[in-house]
Amino acid sequence: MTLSADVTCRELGLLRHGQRVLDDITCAFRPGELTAVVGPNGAGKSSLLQVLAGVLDASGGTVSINEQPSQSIPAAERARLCAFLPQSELPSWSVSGADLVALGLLPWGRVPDRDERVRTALERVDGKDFAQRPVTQLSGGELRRVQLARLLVGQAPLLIADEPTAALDIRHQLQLLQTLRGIADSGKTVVLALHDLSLAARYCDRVLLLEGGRLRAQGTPRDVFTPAMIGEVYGVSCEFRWRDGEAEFVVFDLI
Amino acid sequence: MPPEDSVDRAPARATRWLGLLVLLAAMPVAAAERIASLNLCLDQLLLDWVDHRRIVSVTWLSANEHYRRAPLPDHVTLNRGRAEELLSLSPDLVLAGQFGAGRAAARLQELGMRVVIIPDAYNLAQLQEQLQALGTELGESAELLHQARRLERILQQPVPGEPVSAMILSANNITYGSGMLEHELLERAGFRNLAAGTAEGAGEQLRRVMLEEVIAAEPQLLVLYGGEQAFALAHLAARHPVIRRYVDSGRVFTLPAELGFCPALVAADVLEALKQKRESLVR
Amino acid sequence: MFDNNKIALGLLAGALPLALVAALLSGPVNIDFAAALQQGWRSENSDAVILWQLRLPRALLAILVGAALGMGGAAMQGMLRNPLAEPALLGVSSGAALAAILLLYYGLAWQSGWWLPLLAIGGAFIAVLSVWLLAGRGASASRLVLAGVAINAFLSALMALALNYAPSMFAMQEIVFWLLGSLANRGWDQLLLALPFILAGGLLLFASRNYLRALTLGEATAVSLGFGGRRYPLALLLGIAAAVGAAVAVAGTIGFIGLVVPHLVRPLVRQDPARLLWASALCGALLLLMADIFVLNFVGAQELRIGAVTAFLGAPFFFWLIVSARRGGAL
Repeated sequence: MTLSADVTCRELGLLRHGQRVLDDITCAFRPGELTAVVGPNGAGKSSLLQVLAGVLDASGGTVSINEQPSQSIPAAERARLCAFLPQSELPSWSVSGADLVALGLLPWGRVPDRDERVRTALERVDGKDFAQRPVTQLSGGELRRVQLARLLVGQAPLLIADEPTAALDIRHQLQLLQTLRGIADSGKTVVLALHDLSLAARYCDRVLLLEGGRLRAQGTPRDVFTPAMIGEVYGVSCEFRWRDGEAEFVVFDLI
Repeated sequence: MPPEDSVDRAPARATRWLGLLVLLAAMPVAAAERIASLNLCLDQLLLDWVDHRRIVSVTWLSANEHYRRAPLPDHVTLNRGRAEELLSLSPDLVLAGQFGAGRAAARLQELGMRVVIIPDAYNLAQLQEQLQALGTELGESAELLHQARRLERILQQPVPGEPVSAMILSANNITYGSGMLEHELLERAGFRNLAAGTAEGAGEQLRRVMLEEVIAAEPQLLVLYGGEQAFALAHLAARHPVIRRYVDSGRVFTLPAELGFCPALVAADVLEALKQKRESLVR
Repeated sequence: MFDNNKIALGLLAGALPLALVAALLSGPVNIDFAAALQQGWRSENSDAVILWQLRLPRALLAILVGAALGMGGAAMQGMLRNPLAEPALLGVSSGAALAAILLLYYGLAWQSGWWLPLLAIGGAFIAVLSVWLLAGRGASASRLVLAGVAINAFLSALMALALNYAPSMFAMQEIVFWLLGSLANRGWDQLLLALPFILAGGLLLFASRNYLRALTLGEATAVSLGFGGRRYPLALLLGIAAAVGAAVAVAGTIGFIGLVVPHLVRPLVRQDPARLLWASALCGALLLLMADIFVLNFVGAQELRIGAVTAFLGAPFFFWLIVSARRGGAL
């Protein structure tokens, strides 16, 4: 079993409905790294994540995982390599929280310590109480945490989550990023789409800044999040205060 | 329009034949020479038993493949039971049944045409009356007379003793009770109709019967109502595997479909065939 | 609560043999049940013939058809991610019936062998594929029902048209059968005709159970969980078509089983769309068998159509679903 995932994208392009939503993206995601994909609305963050997760097929370029072209990996094996949480994922049946989390174990077939894993995953998102509750009765943020537990429950070395912090309160946002930080530190490759630049700056090792489907900048948050770059891409002025490489706080204003 | 053409041509052909007819035909002077029918059964009787040259019109149903027994003669016009259709043909005798086309018959009568209502037959006595009524109107048609006498002769024969049990299984699981002509034919042929006079007293007319009732009654002869070969779920019961054992042992008799809509046509044949069947079962 | 569910399912499973016995005892003729049972299936005795050749195949056919419809409904709801999906409501049964009608009335006879279920399955497959493509995946309830009603109306009209021109005197009256279904006059031959296809459909659906589970979270997540590619929806569509098509070929379209049953048993399997398959099969079998017992004991001049009985149960249920959806908004 592969325990780490080294992901490389070369000249990635994607056409949807005749529109170029991704163009010439070359980047890499290494084990142990927590990467944030940021950018304004419509920049192509979700599309990039879906191509990485194999949900969408790229129109050009390649994604390879551990040097193997992603498309040549059998679907079942890829599911064990990569876990994905889409931006919106409404469950169609009101299963219990624990049952929803257990769906994350599907790629592994029968798992002997299933219940134990589910409980641990729920604990990591502070969601023990949701185990027996029907998911349709959970609030948006509570459901999101259960879905994250679904992402964490498996053993995939590559985790991709599209705006995992959306709908979470501030406490659970911090808690979640800390959890994901810990997971990355344990040697997994974690890719998130984030809107909150301060969270990205504080927790992530690397940042990809997308604009109009193209990769505008990549590197450490400190390299990418310069007032000039943020001003150009988002049209806002900003000020980052750094301490020990981590952003302590960020102030934004409209230009 | 084909119907009008044939209307035009029919009198021309008829006049051509008329000379011959007057010379050759040994028919009474009073007998009608241009007969039209407003009733499916009477259509069939005319077509089967009366000289085709005397028929000018039958109902459109008789052209239907379900009812047609032989190709229709070219000169016969099809009518849909409307008075004006027949007026232009100027028949000298219009035959109508008891039901259906009554309005057209009344209208034709008002217009001075000779309309005769032939009563329907629901039992053997009525059947004989029907043939008699037809005979007086059509004159001494050789075939009609022959058929009437034949039925009379068969009915005069004694009913065979020790009845053999029988049951009718018709389309849609329908069986025939004691009020029906089919029942009478069975009894006359020496069978005992098991669907007649059951304890509930429900055996007088048509009745729905489930297959297991047929099996439980254990008739010695199973009588099916035949005719149609095309697929219909209505015939599903008759095709059930439990019926196959009756078919395999030859204990099945199939009534002709004509018995359903025109019993006079086949009653004598059916009676004779049923008697033969009984003989083969008793032996 | 979990244990209560298991007990409830156990009770349902236990009720099935009881209902089977009740069905074998139902009928206009009083038979000596014990003696008939002893005489065995080859006996020529009329009681034994009634039991083994008439009542048993009919009851088993009710179980088989009910199971196929229940399972088909559960699979359709899971596939379309919509609790209003049902084979008869959305035209899948009509597709099968239309194909069967074209074969039976214009082609070969009833004993035409394997062509009948095969063609009916083909018709069902085309219908369910159309629903799937037209309504899309994860379509809103209203869009799904609209697409389904359109397909169903179109196919029903074609059925009526086909029977209208069929060369049979009974063709028009038989529209009623094809629209409401019937188990009357069925024997072992029809049971054996449908059995292999319904079993094959059941196996296909069973093989698709994890795909149905993954679909709980939507198509994108299902793909990421390893269920990408066309073979998963194809297996599911084929499984539904095989189960429903073969059932319709021998019993006509019987509605609402596939709607009511998955709803009733979903709480018992904790909403799991995979275990819902077999639980719906069990409950569908039980429901249709009980409906047939009602039909058998119903006194009337005409045979009560079994589809009418299930519609009596199902139509109010459908209304209730719509009303509760309007109130709760969680359909």
